[in-house]
Amino acid sequence: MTFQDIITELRIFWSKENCIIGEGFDIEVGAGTMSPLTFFGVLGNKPYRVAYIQPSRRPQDGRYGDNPNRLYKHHQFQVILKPPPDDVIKIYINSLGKLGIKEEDHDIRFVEDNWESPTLGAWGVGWEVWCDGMEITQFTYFQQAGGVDLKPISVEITYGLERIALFLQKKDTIFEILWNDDIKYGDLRLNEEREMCIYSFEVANIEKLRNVFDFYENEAEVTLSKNLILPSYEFCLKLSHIFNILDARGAFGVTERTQYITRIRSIANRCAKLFLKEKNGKESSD
Amino acid sequence: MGKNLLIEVGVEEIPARFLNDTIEDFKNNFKNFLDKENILYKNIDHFATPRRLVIFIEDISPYQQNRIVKIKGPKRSIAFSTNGEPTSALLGFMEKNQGKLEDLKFEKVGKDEYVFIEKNIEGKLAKEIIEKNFNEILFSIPMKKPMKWDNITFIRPIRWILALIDDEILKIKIANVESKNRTHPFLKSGKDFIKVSNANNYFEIIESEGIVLSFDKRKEKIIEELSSFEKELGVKIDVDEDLLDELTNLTESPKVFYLPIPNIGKNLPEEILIEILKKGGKVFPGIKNNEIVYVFGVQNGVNRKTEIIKEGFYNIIKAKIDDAIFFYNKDKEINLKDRIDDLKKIVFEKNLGTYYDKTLRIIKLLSRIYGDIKISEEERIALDRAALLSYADLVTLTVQEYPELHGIIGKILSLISKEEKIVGEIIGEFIYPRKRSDKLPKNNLSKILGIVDRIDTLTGSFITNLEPTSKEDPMGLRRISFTLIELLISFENKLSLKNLIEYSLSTYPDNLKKDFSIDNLINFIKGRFKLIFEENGVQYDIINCVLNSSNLIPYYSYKNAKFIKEIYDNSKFIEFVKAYKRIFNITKDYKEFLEIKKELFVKDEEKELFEIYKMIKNEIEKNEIFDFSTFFNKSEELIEKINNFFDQVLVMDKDESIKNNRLNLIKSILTLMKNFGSFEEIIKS
Repeated sequence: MTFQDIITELRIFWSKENCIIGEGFDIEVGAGTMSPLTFFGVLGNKPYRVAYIQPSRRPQDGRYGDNPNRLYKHHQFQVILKPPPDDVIKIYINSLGKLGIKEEDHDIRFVEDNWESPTLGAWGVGWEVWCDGMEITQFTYFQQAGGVDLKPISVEITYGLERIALFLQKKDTIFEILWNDDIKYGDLRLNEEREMCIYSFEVANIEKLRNVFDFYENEAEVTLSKNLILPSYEFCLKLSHIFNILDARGAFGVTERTQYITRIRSIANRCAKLFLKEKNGKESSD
Repeated sequence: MGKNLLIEVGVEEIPARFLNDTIEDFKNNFKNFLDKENILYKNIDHFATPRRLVIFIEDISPYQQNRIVKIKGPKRSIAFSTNGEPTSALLGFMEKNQGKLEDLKFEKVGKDEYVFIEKNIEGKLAKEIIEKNFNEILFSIPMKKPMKWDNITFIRPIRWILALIDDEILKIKIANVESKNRTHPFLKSGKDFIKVSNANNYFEIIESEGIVLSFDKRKEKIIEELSSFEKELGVKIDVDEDLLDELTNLTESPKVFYLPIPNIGKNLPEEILIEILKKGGKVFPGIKNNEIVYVFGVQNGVNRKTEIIKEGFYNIIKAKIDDAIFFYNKDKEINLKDRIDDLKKIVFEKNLGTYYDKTLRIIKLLSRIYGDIKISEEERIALDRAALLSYADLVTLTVQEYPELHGIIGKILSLISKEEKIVGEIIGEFIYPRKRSDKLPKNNLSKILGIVDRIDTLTGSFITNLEPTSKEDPMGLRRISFTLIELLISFENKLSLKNLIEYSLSTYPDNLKKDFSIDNLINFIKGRFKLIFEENGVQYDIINCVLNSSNLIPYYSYKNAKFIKEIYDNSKFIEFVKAYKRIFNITKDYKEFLEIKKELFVKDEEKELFEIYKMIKNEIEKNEIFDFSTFFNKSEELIEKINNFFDQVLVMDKDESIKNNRLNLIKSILTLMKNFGSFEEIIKS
């Protein structure tokens, strides 16, 4: 099964489970969780289901394309189910079946792994799912987002697409994965990996990036003051990405690092509160 | 034959680290509940897999026992008028409780006599009581990391409940899950559920699904399969106890498999490779001719296809090794000493600063204790260097990915960075023991660094209010105290706990120390020490005796306790304790403590006692004797003179100054003896 077949199968599967099939968000993010489709989707009490693919950038994991298992940018397939159905685990295992991972052949195991995003004020408990020892999915019951206790809670299922493709195609390196029948993952992405790493680790201007951080933060304050929730949240994501580049460069001292995280979280938390306030206002006037 | 009760709570995977405590607490809650409600049974058993919490109660009585309840009424003086007639207060009480006058009882409570009636309460149906209270029994299990779903808080979501008394279903409901006579198979297995028509069939059904319900049996099965592979393949398997327990609770249907180790493993130092296999791959290394040749893993699901699973594990292990090689090669590029500055970026604890701060404190603390130990100039230089580099490996990629390799990476990199061999040895060893009864460092210098490092954490945590509570111990201070004591005992030195803490305190800024009480910390460490003694079969009076000595030197406390245990029934020891207690009792309330004046002695016995006291005291101070056996062997004459003193001298003389002088004399002797133990604690004699 090629990389793009995996994506197609998952889209079809979750579409049949009544999910909105969304698109990846067009701002740099570190994980599918950060997309507004998840961040705002899990807030409030209306039932909600969404699934989408999210390219995710983590400068810290960049290896210039030299390491067979690590990437600056990887792809997540993200599913949110609010509220989680009672048989959510069974449904998830069925989705693996669609990818050719038959539960009765494999050792599928749920190993405790709790998740926390200090910048988003979000955390949850759950597992990493192992298939024959390989972590292929992060499975989390969200408890809090934007500093708000969730009610009802949502389940988040995040498939690591490169991992699953490695597993299904029995390749030693991500770059050998078949994207489709003609093109390899490396053909498409190796150069991008190399260049993005050179930029992040060597070229990026740390001092200027700090200035840009301040600028975006300021813009977020302006948009927040005008109750523009989505623009504010987009600035929050930009801050988070700049923070990640600076962090990968080791640009922060300990206290400074915590301060930067707090600055980002403060915007995320206010976006969440504003969103709930507006939403509740609308719902009650319906 | 009575009926048996079975409850299986089906849960999504409970984290391995919580499983044993969870089922233990569940059983205890259940047991306490049955006892409280007077429901009799023959036996209560408990089992757990990651997906099942099971309670099985044999021969449970269908009804609560009938109970007689005593109901307290008014005071007797109020219940009857002066001419003996029942008052309205009494009559009201009787009516309310449907009592009869002839059944009245009288009993004294405190100063007054009260009226009582006894009422026979008939036992209710056990089934109904359990149904009504089950949720409370389950949800009062203490949880370290709970989660919410459906407005319910538990460890993980509950998905089914099987609850039977023989063939009758107990009605239990949690959120929208209702109890049924059904269990669920191992994951999906094609079928969604399996009917359990009678509690007594349950174990057979579960077994036929390939599920092993009990922790002990799963562990045993894994061990047996490992050892049969050992024989078959002629290897020695490094069965790490923690990993074994983890795998036992990560599986409900375990089966051992093995693989050849990927060739690229040779590119890593063996110490690193072993850790990658255990932590990264969750497999045990198998060694033949001093080389890791195979790895052994545990699959979940005996019926799952081992050949397919092995392939997956092989690839993941290879990927983990690959990753580790990348990290290790990168780490080798930078000298260990050039990494020290980067420690400023790693927080040790938010109130206690970074690891850079900790490193500086450790170096300072070392310089303080050099005065208390015998150490050569050369050794001091090595130890200082090792202390400086002790945490530098925390900033390496390898340790960030595998924190357990802290120390080991430090050692390897220090040798690559051309540090002295002894420096590397200390860095690699000072982290041991990592938990109770783990291996100890071989080199005494490593022990010193280990002691200093632990004292720093303990003192720092106590001054910033991080001391453990019954629920939480975020800094792992219990473990740190245990290992500190083990180090101090094995170091065989006269380091006293109080001195160590005081030295450590001097390395912290004054504003932090305001509310700190050194006794709190000493008592906390004593608490761990006590447990170590108890586990070694030392009786509690000896433990109290040595731990309450005036100067707690862990090595000698340990040694002296062992010695006292040996001589406990010896008549000379009994004499010793008797003499001690004579002084102890008479000087108990004597708080003053003045200089002894020779010219105030009247009788020979007191002069002689004073002479021998002075002599022994001198010798103890001169030779720095902390060893009770040495003192005890010299004490025969002292004991004799003490006894002579008490036989011939009246301490409580009419002349106040003579009396006080005598008290001063014996109190000084008591102080001397108390250096070795608080012998008033000894029960014998």
